[in-house]
Amino acid sequence: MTETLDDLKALYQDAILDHSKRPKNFGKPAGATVKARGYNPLCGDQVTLYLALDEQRHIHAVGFEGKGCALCLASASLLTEAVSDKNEDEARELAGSIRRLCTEQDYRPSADLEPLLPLSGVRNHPARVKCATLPWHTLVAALDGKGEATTE
Amino acid sequence: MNAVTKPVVGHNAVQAFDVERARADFPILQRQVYGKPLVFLDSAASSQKPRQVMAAMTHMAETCYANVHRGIHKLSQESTDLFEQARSRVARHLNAAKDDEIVFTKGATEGINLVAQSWGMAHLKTGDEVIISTLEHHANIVPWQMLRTRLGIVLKIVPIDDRGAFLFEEFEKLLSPRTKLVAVTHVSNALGTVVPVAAVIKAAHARGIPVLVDGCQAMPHQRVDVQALDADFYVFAPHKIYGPTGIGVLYGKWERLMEMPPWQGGGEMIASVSFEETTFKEPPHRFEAGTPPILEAIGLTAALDYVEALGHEAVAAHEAGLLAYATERLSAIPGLTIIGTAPEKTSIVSFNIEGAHAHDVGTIIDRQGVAVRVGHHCAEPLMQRLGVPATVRASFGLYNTTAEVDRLAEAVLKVKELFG
Repeated sequence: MTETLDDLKALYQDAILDHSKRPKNFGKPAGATVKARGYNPLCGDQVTLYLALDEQRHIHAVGFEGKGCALCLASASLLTEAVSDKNEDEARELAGSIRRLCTEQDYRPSADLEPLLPLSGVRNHPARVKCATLPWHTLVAALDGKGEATTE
Repeated sequence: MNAVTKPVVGHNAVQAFDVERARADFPILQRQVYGKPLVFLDSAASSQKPRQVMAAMTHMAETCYANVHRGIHKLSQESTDLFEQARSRVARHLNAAKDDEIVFTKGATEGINLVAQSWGMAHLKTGDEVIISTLEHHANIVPWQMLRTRLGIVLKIVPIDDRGAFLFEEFEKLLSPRTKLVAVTHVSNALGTVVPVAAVIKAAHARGIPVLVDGCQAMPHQRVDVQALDADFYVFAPHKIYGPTGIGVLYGKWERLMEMPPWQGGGEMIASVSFEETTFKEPPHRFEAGTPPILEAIGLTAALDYVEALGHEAVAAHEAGLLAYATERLSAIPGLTIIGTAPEKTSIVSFNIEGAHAHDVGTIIDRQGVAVRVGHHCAEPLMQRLGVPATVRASFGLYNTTAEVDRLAEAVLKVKELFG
């Protein structure tokens, strides 16, 4: 049973539990210019992500609303901290890195991804990868001006 | 009044049920998951298969398999006989008035769609009302919504109370001269609520309204007699009653099936075809275009033989015991709320844990070797009514034990340990 708990502890690290219980940047930020809604029809997780973008496509503020499991909420909370004050290209690159972080066992993330490493726990839980990646799909949808993102 | 003591024999006698003996028929139950013995509590999604079912299918494939209703060669004749015997077997199990009231489909969902597209398209028009309930699985919602789009019919929804019980009086109020069909589930797949379908049918028939019953979650847990119920249509999923996937059963009263035009066209369902005109066979073959699920029908026969040999009443008593025990064990866990507490329930316990989303609970339980379903259970309108995004659902089959309920309860306690 210890092994089971260790494995679950790796998924539900303290950072994940903290972010899910007390998410950062919850709500619509002032000056939001674009938003997108992400939905996972299989489990009902949903997030609405707001970005305040300037004309140079620099992200000044990020916020989200939504409901879902601990992994989804923690991922959205971590996202808001990670992409704040990034430009569009950096944010997109980050979204790509997170997808790899959540799925590739041997992926070696660069040092600047350190705060997001707790998300890597889903690698050993294939059924839960979509929970963690939904906010990042939503980010890309917001940057694309699509308004909607789904994971299935 | 003389006191007459009747001997306890016949169908009233509940056979003793030996769960360990039954478990031995299901090899998969020996599996380890994450190094722990599997506890399978997801039979409402699909039940496991006993050796007898797999053996029957293998035996047919190895001895006499060929396409049915086609060739004049020996194997085709033998296969056709076995296939039609399967129809007869299902008819006997359901106590249908005749074998030809049994239509084989590819699943229960297809059975409902068949009724909607064939009977519905022929008998419904703009403004006609179809009554369904809040408890329905998407399979008994979406086919009617598709008809609504095509025909402009109106869907009326029977409400439930906060316990998830079907409100019969509210149902009666919905019956109107415009009501042309009632389509309700027999047992809620998400909550386990038993719907009083016999009373529903009686009330609908008093006004000349036919009734379709989705029996998917009832069939594994009770003996259904379609004539006693007087259902016009009854669908069920053999894979939930220990049979194979890939086959569904639609029972329809003969006069109902006779008033239905063909649905899908193809081989098997025609009497004769020319490019000018095609004439169709009578039911049930009219509704079985293409090669039917042959091996699956033989598997279904074996599954019905299996549950009948165990005794439906013995199985039902065993499962009622599991439900009562699980309800008691889970209710005692602080922060756990059972979703669905209707007075009449069968074999399903849905619940949520304060501060933990159903998906997180599901993952934690899974890692302890316990398989449950989490999510909206293909019943999103019901989840919305209950105000929950999802639930954790433990569902029982004849092979489950009270020791497995204990494993579930222990696994749930780990959720609290982690999420604190």
